Amino acid sequence: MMNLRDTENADPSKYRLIGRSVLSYRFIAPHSETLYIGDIKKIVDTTKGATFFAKITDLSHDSNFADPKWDTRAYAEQFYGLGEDVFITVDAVPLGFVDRDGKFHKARTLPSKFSTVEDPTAEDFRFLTEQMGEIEVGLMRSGQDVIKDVAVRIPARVLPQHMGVFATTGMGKSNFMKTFCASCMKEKKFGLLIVDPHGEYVSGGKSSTGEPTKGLVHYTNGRDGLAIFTIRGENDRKKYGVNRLNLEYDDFTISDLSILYDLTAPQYDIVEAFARTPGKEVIEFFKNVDPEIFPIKDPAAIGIRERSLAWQIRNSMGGPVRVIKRHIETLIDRNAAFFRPQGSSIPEIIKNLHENRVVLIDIPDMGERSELFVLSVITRLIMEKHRSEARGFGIDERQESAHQVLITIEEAQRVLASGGSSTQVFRECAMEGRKFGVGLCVITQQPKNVDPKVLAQINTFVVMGLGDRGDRDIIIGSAKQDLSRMEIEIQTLDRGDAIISTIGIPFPVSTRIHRFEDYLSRLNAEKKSSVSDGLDNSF
Amino acid sequence: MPEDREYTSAMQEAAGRIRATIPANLVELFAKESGITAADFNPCTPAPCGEVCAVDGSNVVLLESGSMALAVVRAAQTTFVDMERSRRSLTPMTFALIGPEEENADFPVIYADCFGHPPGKPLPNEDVSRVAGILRDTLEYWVTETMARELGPGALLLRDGPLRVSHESHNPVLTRIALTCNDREIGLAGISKRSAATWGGGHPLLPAVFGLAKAYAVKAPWWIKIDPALLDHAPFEQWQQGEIYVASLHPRTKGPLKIELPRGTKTDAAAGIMNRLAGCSADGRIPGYPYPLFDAHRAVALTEEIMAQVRGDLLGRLAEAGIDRQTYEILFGDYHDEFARY
Repeated sequence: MMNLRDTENADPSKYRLIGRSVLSYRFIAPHSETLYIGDIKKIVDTTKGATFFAKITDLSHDSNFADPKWDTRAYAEQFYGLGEDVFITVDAVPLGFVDRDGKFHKARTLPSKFSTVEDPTAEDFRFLTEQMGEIEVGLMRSGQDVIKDVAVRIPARVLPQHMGVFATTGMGKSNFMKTFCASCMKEKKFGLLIVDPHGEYVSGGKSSTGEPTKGLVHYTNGRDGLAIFTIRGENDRKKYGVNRLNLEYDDFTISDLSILYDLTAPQYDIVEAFARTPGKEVIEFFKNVDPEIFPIKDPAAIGIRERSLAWQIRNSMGGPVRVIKRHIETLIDRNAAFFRPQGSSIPEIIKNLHENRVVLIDIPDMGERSELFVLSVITRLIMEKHRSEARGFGIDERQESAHQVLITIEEAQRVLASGGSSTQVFRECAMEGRKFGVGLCVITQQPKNVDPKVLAQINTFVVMGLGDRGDRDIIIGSAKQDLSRMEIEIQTLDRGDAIISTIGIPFPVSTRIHRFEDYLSRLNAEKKSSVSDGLDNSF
Repeated sequence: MPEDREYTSAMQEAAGRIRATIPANLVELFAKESGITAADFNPCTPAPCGEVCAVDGSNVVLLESGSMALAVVRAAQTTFVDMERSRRSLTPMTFALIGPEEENADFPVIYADCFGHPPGKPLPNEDVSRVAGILRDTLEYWVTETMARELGPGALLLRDGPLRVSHESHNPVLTRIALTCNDREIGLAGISKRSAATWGGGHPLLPAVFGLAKAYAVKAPWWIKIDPALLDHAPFEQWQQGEIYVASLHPRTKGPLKIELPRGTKTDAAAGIMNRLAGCSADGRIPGYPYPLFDAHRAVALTEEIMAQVRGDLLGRLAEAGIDRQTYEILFGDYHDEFARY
């Protein structure tokens, strides 16, 4: 007897793995499905007993029709049964897989053909939660949504191996930094130095979009993790319980000028000559020197002692001496609020850093040169201190004993551009700081203007939306994890979203950074850890 | 390239003969001969389709030697309720040997398999493609009859092709189908993309009607019933179960369709069917063609990929049966395949 066999009306072709290689997955989804770049999917391979994870990197319309131009030849607006043959082709990049024993591995194998593609739950990411570090900055994001209960925490141990924060204006960079600082204050795993020339970190202000923001002093539960050095008046210092910032002349070396000014070769010769001379001596010399006596043909004739400072630069012309004198006078004048002959906060700053506090140098309204001046002085002195500490340790105890400090540099392209020998202190810090427990937190809107050799030293990348293709390319090329398949996601990141790539977390994680004010409320609501926590109460 | 006068002249003659059937004044001639006026064109108002079932079949000659051929046939139905597909089904793929006997040996088997009794007339193995088409029709009619019994009252049952059989044995089946549809208040329509119908001694019907509607500025969708007296004599008139209509079911249609409805269909019922057909003929890929028929075609089509698979499977079975590759090539090998390699 003839018979009719019903074909299944359900559509099994969607949401199952159809391709393609170890490094590139593909499946199809209904044409009307709302999917986003960055969505994380899990691929359940019942044959191998493994769960693979993949992130959507591209979406495109596709069909089973032989005519590739069927859609441009359409003669009317209505279509029946379109969903069977018209679909979205989804390309995804593998993140790794969890085996039968719950152990995570990099994607060195393929899921079985036609494994089902599903949405993961927080439970699926338990392996990741276990591998996360301590410095919480946000929640894991999958496409437009966050996966609740999967907090993104950067491992503290990798941070002194340099960190980069890359974002254009308005992408939530300040919010990220404040959130990061708050977590550092809470965890106290390393010292973090921030120079704030805009006064926004202490008590907040207004964001780049004009919204009122709070500051680090509002994190009352974590106040012990914060030390502030400010040039603000006594009233403000009392109100927030902060220290006065002072740098003394001996904190300065004449080579700091090369960071602040573009020096000519003759001027640089003078800087070189006085490179090892204490700052106070240099300043006193230039205060009193008459540039018109240079060059000095017969030093003895005008009473200049051999080996004195004037004698050392006796062959200089008057012009360069005059310029250096003017720069030093300007430096003293412009930074009079904290720069003085004697009395320095630097030992206190370093002490707080070594006690793993966030040290905030608050110099509101002081301008870019003052910021760089303070930053270069402190960086140099931290480097010197750490170098000398390292010399004192034995080979085996160095790692355990060394203090860990992370120094934040905003608009880092100013001091870490290619070929700038004038910014030697920061370059040294980038190249060899990690050996001495000194890391840089490089913040920039223009990574392409940062020396690629410096970027290559960075182990933690926080990418927060870069519109410029050149900037994206340089980041993708420098990151320790493969970000090449995430370019579209980087391009389409929303304000407050970031991709965090660090050697401590197994794959680049899309993150919705906590809104600082919300995070602050949560942290302040948490029970403050008591001194007795962690002590053995039993006898 | 030098001009080849013989080639050019043969080409011109062929074009001229085609042109003779479709003269420049085709529309004027047709208007004069048919007496059709603008008022004879009925406007369609696309209506909700309700339950619509479409039936189609497919046949492919898989292997062909000088003395015999192997055909594969199958048929399918697809049913939509308000343009959401509710069911789609296929007959099994059926194999039939055409030759070397004079009468087809598989026809009575397949026919009896479908209808429970042998066919009234045998099927001569004269023309391979005709035999394959009739074997396919056998399955198609069985599916159509099955659906005529299973569809709900008020449904619309569409057949790809005319309501006219090509083999006498199918005539009682088509008669039963028409009766069942009538009894169960199911609308039956045979829809053809092409038509052999001509008028005035060989002028094709469809371009003439379409051109006339255009000349009268009748906006699609429309339909018109064709007076059989207008048409040239059709072969096997006694096997004709339907009356001929021509319809243009969408303003962007590629061309009109010949639609056959069972004899005696009243004008109101015809209008209802045409309105429902227009209601399911708006798909942007094939505007003016009822989508369920398109879906049935896609379900049933024996594509190159399917046939390649079947051919591979069959080769395996032939080998198991003791026919080696060389014998196979001698029997079914196609030198054209070899020619095509060079």
